[in-house]
Formats: sequence, C-alpha cells, structure tokens
Amino acid sequence: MTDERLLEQAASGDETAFAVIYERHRGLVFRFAYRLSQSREMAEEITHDCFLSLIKEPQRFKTQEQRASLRTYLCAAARNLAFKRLRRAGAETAIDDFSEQLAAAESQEPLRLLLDAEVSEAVRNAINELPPLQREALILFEYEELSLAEIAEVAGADVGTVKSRLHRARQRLRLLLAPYFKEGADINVERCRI
Amino acid sequence: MNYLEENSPDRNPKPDDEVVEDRELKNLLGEWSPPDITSSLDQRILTSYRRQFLHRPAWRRWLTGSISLPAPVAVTAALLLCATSYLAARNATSYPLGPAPTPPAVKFVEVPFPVVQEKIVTRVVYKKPDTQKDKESPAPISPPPRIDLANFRPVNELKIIVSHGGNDEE
Repeated sequence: MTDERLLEQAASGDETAFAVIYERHRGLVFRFAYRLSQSREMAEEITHDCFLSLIKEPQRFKTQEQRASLRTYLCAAARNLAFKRLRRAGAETAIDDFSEQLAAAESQEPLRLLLDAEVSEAVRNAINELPPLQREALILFEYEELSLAEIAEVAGADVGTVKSRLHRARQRLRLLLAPYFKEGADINVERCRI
Repeated sequence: MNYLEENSPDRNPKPDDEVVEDRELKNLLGEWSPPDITSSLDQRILTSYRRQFLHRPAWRRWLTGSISLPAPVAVTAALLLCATSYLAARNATSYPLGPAPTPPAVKFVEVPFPVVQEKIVTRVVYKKPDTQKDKESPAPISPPPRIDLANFRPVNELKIIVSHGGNDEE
C-alpha cells in the first residue's frame, strides 16, 4: 500500500496504518536527525515531533504530494526541526552520547573497539565541524543515499547549490580526517601498536 | 553571521561537475553509526498518536473519519449505483417531459335559470252565523282571567292614612 493511502488512514485513526508508516520511515528520520544534531535525546524529540505533526496536519504533505515523496517530506520536516533546535541551543551539540559509547567500548573489548570508537569520534567531530547546510547535504547523500534532486527538495534549494554544498563538505572532511585516510590510517594503527 | 551560512571560501564550484563516488571517504564515514532506536521512543510515539485520537471531538471524528472497503465490494456498489441511475434516467425519458399543462382559463358566463317561486295567496272567507243553533247552546264559560304581574308598577309616592275612631285624619 502506498504511503499516501496509509497516511490517509492513519490520519483518520487507523493505528495499524500509522504503525506501518512509522516502521517504514522511522530509521531514516532518526538517523538523519541524530547525525544533524549529534544528540540522541534531540533526535528522539525530532522523530517524535516529526511523525506527530505528520498525523496532525497531513494536508501539509498532501499539498506537496505532487512533487515530494513522504521520505523527502519527512526529511525536510526533520531538518527544519533540527535546525530550529540547534539555533535555540546556540549551535552547541551534546557529546554525552559519545562518552557513553566510549565507556561501553572500553568495558567490552580491547584495542579494536577503542580504535573504532576513536575513528567514530573523529568522523563525528569532523561532521560536526561542517556548516549545517553542508552537513545536511553530506548526510543525505552519503548516509541516506538520496539523490541530488531529492536533497534539493528537502533543502528547498536547486540541484546546483546542493552539489556545491556536497563538494565543499567532502573537501573539508578530507582535510579534517586526513590522518584516517589510507596512508594516515596506517600510521595511526602503527602508533597504536607501539 | 548566520549560523546556517556556509563559511567555505570555495563557494562556486562548477555546478555541472559530476558527483563522483568517494569510496574512501564513504568507508570512513561508515565508521560513525547512529545508535539504535529505543523501544521507549516507539512506545512514546504510539502513545502520543493514540492520545491525539482520544481527545479528538466526536463531531470531528465523524466529519473526518473514513471507512475502508474491500475493492470488490466498492466496485460492485459503484456498478449497482450506475445501473440504478441509468434505469431511473431511462424511465424518466420515456415520459415526455414537456412543459406542465396549464389549467384552462375559467370563463364566467351568466345563464338564465328558471326558478319556481312560491306564491302565498290569502283568502278571506266570510261565514254566516247560524242563529238557531246559537240560541240553544248556552254561552260558553269564559276561563278566569289570568293574573299577570307583568304590567305591575310600584307607585312613585306612598301616602299612608291612619283611620282612628271613624274619623279620617291625616
């Protein structure tokens, strides 16, 4: 059954239809919100608000139905919520989540997990260094594998602008993560072995 | 400076550039994975969804509610409706639907009509009295006069005269 039909049913009180929509898209919305905000708490809030606003005002999606899929509509809603919250928080993102991950890694396994955690932390920090619009383009393209046209819909920009943002985001990440690319990664591993 | 603004000096790369896949970067980015969604979030969202419909007023539920029908039932119902409409339309066209016949104009005409009128004729008959017979028969006894107070009227002024010792005194 299509997302549009399911949404109609969910908006009129069909809980099963809502559960199907939620199951289909919750991963995308949560991951995107988490990578943008870098906070589990905020990502959960955004996911919650995103789905509830979809049910409260399904007509907002219907008006854009001709040009947007539910996937891109939800991404756009999550993006707006995330940017609003980030602005309110003064662009500061919580780092508690990573500390928890690191603590878990240390208790479970030896060096490998610690290294993974370190790389993960580096990637996370590098992405966090990006300006929000570049970050958004990179996350949607590299992680969620949306097309440039879809990203343009989510961001409300044209494809050329999205391409440009993606290009700059990649350039910047290459600089920030230089020690972790192939030659740098080898050095890093060697250093850990010593 | 706007928080969302991009601060890279390279603001205008060629827009026609192909977005080539950067496998190395992608692999590295894959090192950072988001946490799993907790079941508490699922529960919270479902609870919020239910609460929203519990608090929705009945009239709104009635106006915005929808029912789902299996496709065969819906198709059958639609076909029945079409057939009924077609038959109704056909029956309607079998009777010419001209303008409604106007009632004939009423014209008043005076017609003389003979009416039998009753005539009362009074005839006075004089009868000669039979003198012989009147002599023989006694005079009929008249009934006593009837006392009737209909014409009784009290006097306006009453004078009382007291008689004393046979002499009249006022």
